[in-house]
Amino acid sequence: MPFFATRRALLGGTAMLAAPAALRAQTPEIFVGGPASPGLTDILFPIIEKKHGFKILFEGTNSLINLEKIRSNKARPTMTVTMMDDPVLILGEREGLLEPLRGKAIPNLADLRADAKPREAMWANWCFPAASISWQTQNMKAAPTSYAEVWDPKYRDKVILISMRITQAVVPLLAATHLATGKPLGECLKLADEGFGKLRELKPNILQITTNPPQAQQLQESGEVDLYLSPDSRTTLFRKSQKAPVDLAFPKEGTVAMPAGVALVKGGPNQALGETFINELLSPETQALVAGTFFSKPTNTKAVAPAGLNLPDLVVLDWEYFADNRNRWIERFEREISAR
Amino acid sequence: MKRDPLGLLALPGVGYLALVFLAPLLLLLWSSVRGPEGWTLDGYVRLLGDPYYRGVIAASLQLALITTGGALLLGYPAAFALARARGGWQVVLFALIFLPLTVSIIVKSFGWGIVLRRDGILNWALLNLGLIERPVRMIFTEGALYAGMINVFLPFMVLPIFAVVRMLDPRLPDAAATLGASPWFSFRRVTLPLSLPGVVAGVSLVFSLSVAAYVTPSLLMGDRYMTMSMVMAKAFLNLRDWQLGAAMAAVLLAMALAVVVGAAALQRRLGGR
Repeated sequence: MPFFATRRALLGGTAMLAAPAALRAQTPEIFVGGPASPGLTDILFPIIEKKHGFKILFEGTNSLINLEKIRSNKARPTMTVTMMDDPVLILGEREGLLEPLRGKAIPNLADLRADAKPREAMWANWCFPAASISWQTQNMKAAPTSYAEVWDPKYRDKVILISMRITQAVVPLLAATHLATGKPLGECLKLADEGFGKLRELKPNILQITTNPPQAQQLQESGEVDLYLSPDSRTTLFRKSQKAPVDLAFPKEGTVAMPAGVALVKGGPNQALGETFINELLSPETQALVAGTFFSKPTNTKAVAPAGLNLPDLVVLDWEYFADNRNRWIERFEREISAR
Repeated sequence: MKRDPLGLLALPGVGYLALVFLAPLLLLLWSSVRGPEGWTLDGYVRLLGDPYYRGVIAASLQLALITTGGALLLGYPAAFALARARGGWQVVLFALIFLPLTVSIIVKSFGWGIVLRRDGILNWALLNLGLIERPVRMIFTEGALYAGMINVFLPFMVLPIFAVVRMLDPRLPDAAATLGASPWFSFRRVTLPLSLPGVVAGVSLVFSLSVAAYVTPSLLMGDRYMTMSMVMAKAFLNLRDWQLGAAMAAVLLAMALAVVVGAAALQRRLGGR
């Protein structure tokens, strides 16, 4: 029997096709852009979704690409919340892409450390991952106790540095500046140009300058290199928890707090849900979960870090100064350190 | 002259390419000469006036030339073997040469990293053969980069040469021999000239691809071997210096275009002989 599509059949079919969209529409959604870190979509977000009854659509990418997306959609923003590094959030703020966080809508802001609410709470730091030296526990007997050890000739071809294009590269630059000037690590950012000479002396030890942290991580875990500066605790301690032969050293000069920020996108849809999301992220209970999941310092003063996570006090940097000088340092780093 | 209406079939393809390729390309060229204060050649001046960036251009050219030369040296005999093989052997050779194309460049480049490590298979083999006493550093060296690049781009050299060689009459060398030509003379004066169109196509293809390579140099050497594509990525993503990135892209395009146009002209000349 030949099949003729009647109007009723067509309408029925269309209704069937539209059904999932209609069902989806019943659950409010927010679009969050952030890092492609393990722990976000598999652990943290399902808990927030269940507690508050909305769906989180997440796109994981690096901060600069995230910023580019927000910039491209400035006229009609699609993203509600963005999770980026502070140096990139500073650029977003300057271009008027962010909405200041309001204490009334986000009461947990009140309990945050003062240095976790940059630019008068234009955004908040949802955790402070720690960055120093990642060391290979099978090749080495003990953790380095000072950044000076990285310059030891016994580590020839045994060190990987992260490219200055990635924020964590500030750590070896600060270490070199400290060794060159003798100033405390916390004061070294503004003297960083003086550290390049010392960093050049490290070249014989450098096997690679990487823009691909997973590859560098794999090389360290396989024993090809001993020292890696500087993936932060989100990577190193996470891999250690999975029995990989790596650990984070805590050198006497200090360990640096990496900036993990969360902000509202100006004019983004469902702003109220975005505020709920951020408030939940900053609550003491979720902060404890964040600390354990991301092996980082909580930023809420009322949060209790899980037992076994013993991070020292971290050196918090002036990320605005970093953002203002980063391009120049990228150029210097490539010409003076990376170049053959 | 009456026009062939079949030519109209090309319109959808041409329209699609104009939309997704030509228009962005024109925008890119526009960005390279457009600054905050109007038209300017500042991007090109900064690029070509800076010894560092000139060095990057030279390094990209060197990488592309070595990759193309290496792929030609290995690919030319491979294409002949492929064309002359019969039955099961041809299937095996085909699989060996072209199956790697189905593997992502990222996976292949990571694979090279594993092969070249101190505890990798190459060091293991050299140690067990007694050729070295302790593992040697091979990873993140220029030699490793060239080997990886040739591996990635070899099929693009073999395929066009094979397409030409398989059309050659296999009795040609025998015919030359009956006229007293030595094997070398026969190859130089008969086989090589006839296979040149495939060589030219392969060279232009491999050069154009390797001069613009990004993933393989990034994974096999990182920032120690900056290529033009890596500078473009840095300019657009990190420095947010669109003019510099667009100027580098235009220089890269000009280089690849020069090779492709030159190759096409050479093809026509060879075809006309």
